[in-house]
Amino acid sequence: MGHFNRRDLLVAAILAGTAGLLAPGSRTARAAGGGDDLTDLARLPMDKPDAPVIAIAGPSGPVRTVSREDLAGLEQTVLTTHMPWSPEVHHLEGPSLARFVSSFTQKDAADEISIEAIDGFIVTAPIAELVADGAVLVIRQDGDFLPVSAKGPAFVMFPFEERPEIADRSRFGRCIWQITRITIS
Amino acid sequence: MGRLVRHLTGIGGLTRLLIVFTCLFAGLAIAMSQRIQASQTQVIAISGYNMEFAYTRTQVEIIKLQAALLQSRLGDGGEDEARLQLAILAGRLTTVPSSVGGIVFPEAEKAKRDLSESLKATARFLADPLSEAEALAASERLSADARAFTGLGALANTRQAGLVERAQERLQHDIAMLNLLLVHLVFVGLVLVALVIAERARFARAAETDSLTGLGNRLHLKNPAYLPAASASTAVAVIDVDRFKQVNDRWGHATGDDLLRLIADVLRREASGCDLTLRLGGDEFLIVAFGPEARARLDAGCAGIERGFLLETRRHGFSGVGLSIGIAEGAWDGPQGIDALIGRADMAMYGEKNRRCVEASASGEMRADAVMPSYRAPAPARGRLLSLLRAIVSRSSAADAPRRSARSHGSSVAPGAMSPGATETDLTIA
Repeated sequence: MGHFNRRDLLVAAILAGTAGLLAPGSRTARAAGGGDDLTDLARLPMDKPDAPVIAIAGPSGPVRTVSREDLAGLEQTVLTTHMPWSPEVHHLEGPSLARFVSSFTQKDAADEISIEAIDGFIVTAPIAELVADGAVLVIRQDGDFLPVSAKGPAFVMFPFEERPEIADRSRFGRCIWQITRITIS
Repeated sequence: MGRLVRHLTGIGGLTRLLIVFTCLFAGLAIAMSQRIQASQTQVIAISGYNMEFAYTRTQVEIIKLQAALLQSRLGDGGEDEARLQLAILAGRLTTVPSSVGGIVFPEAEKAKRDLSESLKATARFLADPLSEAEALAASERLSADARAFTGLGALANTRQAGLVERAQERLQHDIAMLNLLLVHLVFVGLVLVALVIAERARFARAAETDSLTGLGNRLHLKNPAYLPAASASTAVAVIDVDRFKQVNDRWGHATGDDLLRLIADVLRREASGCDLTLRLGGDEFLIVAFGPEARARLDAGCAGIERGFLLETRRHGFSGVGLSIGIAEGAWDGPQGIDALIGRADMAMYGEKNRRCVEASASGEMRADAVMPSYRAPAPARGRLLSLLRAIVSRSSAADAPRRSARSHGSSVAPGAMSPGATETDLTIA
């Protein structure tokens, strides 16, 4: 090993990286059945940030369908936390549930929210409870919008890192992902 | 720190042992309480995530993907539905747990890896549909994955329950231990409190005791425990040693102290009919009698003291010393009253002493060739504890007397100021 200098190692690393980047398109990688990133392989047209993907029904007025870019236009809250399914800490970003609700309804005009996922999973909860727990409608993880294959277009998360006392089964159950419809009533 | 250690080493054996136990139990209780907190956090972590639901739900979504794939193969244009189902499943896969509360489920890790590979194969197949055989292979892989997740659901159910049960058992054990430690702490604490109270009582007794002679000191006159509750006729005698200074000067203070102890022993023996026998300070002693025939009992005590003093000083070679006794009597009317009585007895005693000193200097006592006195008190100073014990014993016998006389005779004596007709008597020693 002694005769490799630092430059040789750098060149080797760059070559290896390039090979890795090229691999997904190659037949050999496909034949082996591995090496690709599933999140990318399962991308959908609806994963585009400007696609209107979340239907929002308020207590009155027509149903509006918004894109992640619309939601990004609201005041953003940043959560730096681990998640029930991941001990690693991530930077999550999106409107707080309080901000989200107030932008679609008059103050105190609604007290319950029903959040529905693409697969039909539904979370229904008093808005006051979610707001008190610091719920955030996350649209970005570590700076990137999320495809459906990575829990997008949006998911609900709580500040578990900052408030360990709320890390319990009932809050975990409210961490709904792949959100497609929100009804405020 | 060094001061603390010095204080600790100065504490008695039992107290020190109890303090050490207190620290030990407190330390263990803190450690136990931290363990309990950790166990509670673990129970919450283990039971917090519903793994069985996650696995079962994954299995349902695999089957839905299979159905969508089948539909797309039948040419019903179900590719979009299959792609959506694939994305849903890929998203779910990022949330499927393979460990709980830090405990890894290797079966779940393997199932997730397998499903990930199956999904990749399905994604490639959907992007570039090839043969019927490839579709069949993908479907078969997904079937195997669905079976694996069914198994995982059952496994998680029993394993998670077992983990929670074990953690709860540990928690219960630790809580029982903590309770036991707390009971011990409370017990040791109570014993320590009792010791502190006993120690305080001992110090209070020691403060009222003259350490040299073991007699009571002036503080007895302030302590209601030794005094009559109601008015009672009272007689006091102030006793002072003549030429005590000369004893000190000639034979040294140790011999002077021996003489004081000798007198204290005589007083204890001869004034047992009186109620208080105290050393006021220096070479001055006080005898008090309360209640009926107080004066008669005091006189009898003083007579006995004179006799005993003469006998003992001769026996032990104290030549040339004598006692001056001044007596006063009146009605007991509180501590101020007794102070006035003592003052009058003091005056009477000094009058007598002056008269006798003139006589003594004329007759030239305390001869130069006198042999050194040899009295050794049967008394104290062997150790702190022993002297303290002697002091306690002598005081408890002295303390009972006034209470007795006050109780039996106090009410029969009319209350009022110091009797104006009190007599002052001087007794002299031959």
